[in-house]
Amino acid sequence: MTHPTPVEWAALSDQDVVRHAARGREAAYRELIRRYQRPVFSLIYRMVRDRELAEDLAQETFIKVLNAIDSYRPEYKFSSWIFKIANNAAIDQLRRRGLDTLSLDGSPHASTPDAIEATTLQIGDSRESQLEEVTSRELGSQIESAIGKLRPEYRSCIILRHIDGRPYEEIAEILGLPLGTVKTYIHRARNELRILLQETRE
Amino acid sequence: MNSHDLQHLTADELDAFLTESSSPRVLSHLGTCPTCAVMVEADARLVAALATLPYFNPPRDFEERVLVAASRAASVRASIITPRAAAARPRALTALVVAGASMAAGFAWATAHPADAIRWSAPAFQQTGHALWLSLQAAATNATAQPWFSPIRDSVAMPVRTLLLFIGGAGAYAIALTGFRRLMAEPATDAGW
Repeated sequence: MTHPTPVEWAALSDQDVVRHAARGREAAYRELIRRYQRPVFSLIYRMVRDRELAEDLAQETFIKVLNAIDSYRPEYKFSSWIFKIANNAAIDQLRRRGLDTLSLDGSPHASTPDAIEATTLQIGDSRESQLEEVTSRELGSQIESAIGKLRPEYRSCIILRHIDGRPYEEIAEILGLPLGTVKTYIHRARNELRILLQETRE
Repeated sequence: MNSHDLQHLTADELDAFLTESSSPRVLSHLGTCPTCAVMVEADARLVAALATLPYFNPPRDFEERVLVAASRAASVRASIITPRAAAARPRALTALVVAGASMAAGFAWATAHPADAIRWSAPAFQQTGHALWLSLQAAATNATAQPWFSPIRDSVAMPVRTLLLFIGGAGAYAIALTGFRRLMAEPATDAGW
């Protein structure tokens, strides 16, 4: 089998890339990391609210996935598999450290200004104008802060549904919950977010 | 307005509205129920705001770090020797050396004394062969005396039945093998499938 070029890698489905990865092709590993590093890192970062910790957990997630690539079953979506591992890693960490809800202003475990800076959730990338950037950043900060106050299960649901845009069925598969429970969690999470944002504005 | 219109929208109906797949009943209800209209509008604003939240970027060297750590983990795993395996190694090596040395000594002696070797080994080979032949005959006699032997013999005597039996057996074997492989190919424990 010939080795796909970078352009061809991008055209391949997850399943095809995984097949190459299972044969030990490093380029396939790189492609999987490139495809999922931002969504996986973002999910974990929004869950644990600590950048350094999120980096470690995201790395751990990819190592587990790459080392267990032979056992991946193609009848399941690859994204469900990797998000399930990432979410479990984040939930385990939250349980271990009791980081149920965190402020946006860095990890409570950060004791120095550098550590606080390193663990602060960075919001907003490039925007068209300064005013737009400030407004967007403010709203984004409020929403991120409100998400951080949700229960971890609600947090996973709202991130996967409304930030990642995953379908309900996939979220149920990722979280190992019945579809009805996922819908209920998302509905309740939205209600809580609305209330939290209302309180912030008042 | 009928009685159905008086009930507020369910969570599913709210979701359907947010994904622009709502039914005429939802649309007509929203036109007449200010409570639901306010909730739907607030939900829609929230969902739109959530959708604008950006992905966070991992560090630039994330890809390299993962690959290095993954290859290190794989090589460490491959080179791990359990205490049990480590303890068994010298014993296995000793047994191998003793067995090899014994065989070599035996061959050397037989080469040096071929007449003696044949004289001593011939009766043993003859007796062993005879014993094997008797065992085979006993097994065959025993098998043909079993109640299940006749039906099998009759079915094998007809080519169609033989073919069906073969296909059935191969199918059962394939199913069992597939099931076994799936059991053995469980994904990472964290996946929890």
